[in-house]
Amino acid sequence: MNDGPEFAPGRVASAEDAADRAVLERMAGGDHGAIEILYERYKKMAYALALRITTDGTLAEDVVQDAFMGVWRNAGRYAEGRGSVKTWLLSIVHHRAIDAIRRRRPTVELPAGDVSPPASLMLPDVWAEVAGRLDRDAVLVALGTLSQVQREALELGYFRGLTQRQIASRTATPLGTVKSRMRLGLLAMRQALVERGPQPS
Amino acid sequence: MNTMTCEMVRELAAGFVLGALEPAEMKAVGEHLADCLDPHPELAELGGVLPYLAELPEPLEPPPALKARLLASIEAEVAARRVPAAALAASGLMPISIDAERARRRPLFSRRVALQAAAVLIVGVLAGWNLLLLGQTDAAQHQARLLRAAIAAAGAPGAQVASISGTAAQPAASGFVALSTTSHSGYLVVEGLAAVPAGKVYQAWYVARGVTRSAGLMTTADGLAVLALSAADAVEVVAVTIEPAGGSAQPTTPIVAAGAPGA
Repeated sequence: MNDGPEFAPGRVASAEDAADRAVLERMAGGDHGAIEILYERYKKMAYALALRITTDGTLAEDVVQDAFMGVWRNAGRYAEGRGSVKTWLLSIVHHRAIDAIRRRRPTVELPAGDVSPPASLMLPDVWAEVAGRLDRDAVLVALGTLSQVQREALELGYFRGLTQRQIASRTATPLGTVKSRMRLGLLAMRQALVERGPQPS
Repeated sequence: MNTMTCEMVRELAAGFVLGALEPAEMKAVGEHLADCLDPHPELAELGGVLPYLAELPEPLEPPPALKARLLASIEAEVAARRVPAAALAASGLMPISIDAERARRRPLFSRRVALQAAAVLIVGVLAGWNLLLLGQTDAAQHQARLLRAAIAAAGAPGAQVASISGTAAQPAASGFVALSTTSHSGYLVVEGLAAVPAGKVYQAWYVARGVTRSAGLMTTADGLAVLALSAADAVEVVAVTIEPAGGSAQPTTPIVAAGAPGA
């Protein structure tokens, strides 16, 4: 859990990531049972992310199963330097979950009233209650440095799978404004994370 | 044709790393990056934030059945990958019926031929069974009728036939699955199955695109089970597990036999 910010090219791999890579090598070498090790290690994060995006337990389970199958099938093709194994796995979960909800969502734009209230990205009091956990805490604090509208843009894009155009129409905001909110939101998070994390070399 | 400039890509970078551009824009940026010789550090700069967003949801324990299902799917795929080799070994046949050049250019075709050959061999063995079963109990006669239909289905033009192999749990199990590509129906035949413990039953499953659906419960007679299938769509893998009497909604135990008609 001590991955530093991954912005610096010379990032030092953590001991955990080295262990994960060893598991991938075992899988690539035909040790199919090794997937269980990765599953036990990341099932909670993967399921939480999938559930957050799909808001549907059954769909979230399918997404997680699909993502671990993807890791298992591609273990041999996983290249060094593409970020940690955890990052890779969670990005697969994210993609599959977004795909799942986009398929489920009618292509016609839903009425604005259909949007449920934005979840925890929008609730500042959540930041405070997690002070005990350093990693998520750091991320939540970083998120806390964003403006409300920047958080909303990231929430709708990253967790709801909405395009910038859809966000603009739902929030009755000009498209250019949505674009700059996303960009400034990501830059502000990066800045806050770099300040809190190990200094990139 | 790609008219996107480096400057435009820089403008769209945040939307691109978040996958929040319109599909045509996603495609255009992707194409630009594939061709562009200039560095685009803004993508790593902005995209590097995403792994942190991924860890924002409070970790949550998934239902325990998910792990069993994941491991079962992997076992089914492992079994399916083994099928061509196992089929060849079982039949003692090499794909000699097609010329080497065609085999080289069309490896899938030669494998399909090998599978057909193995299935025909198994059908031959089972035809003997069929005769043995005739004239016995009603259940056996029912089984024999199903078996005859299964053999006919395997031999029908356009039938999708694949060998079924036992996994480590039941290496003695073998058989075939025959699916009609036109009528979306077919048969699963497995022999050499161990007797199920009391209160348990063999259940067959379809696996397609990572989704597992029940194909029905199987009754065994002397280790032989024949099941009529009604696959609604393309099936990649057919698998068999042992489930509590009455069957399960999703597999709860490791696969004992599997084959890949969709391979």
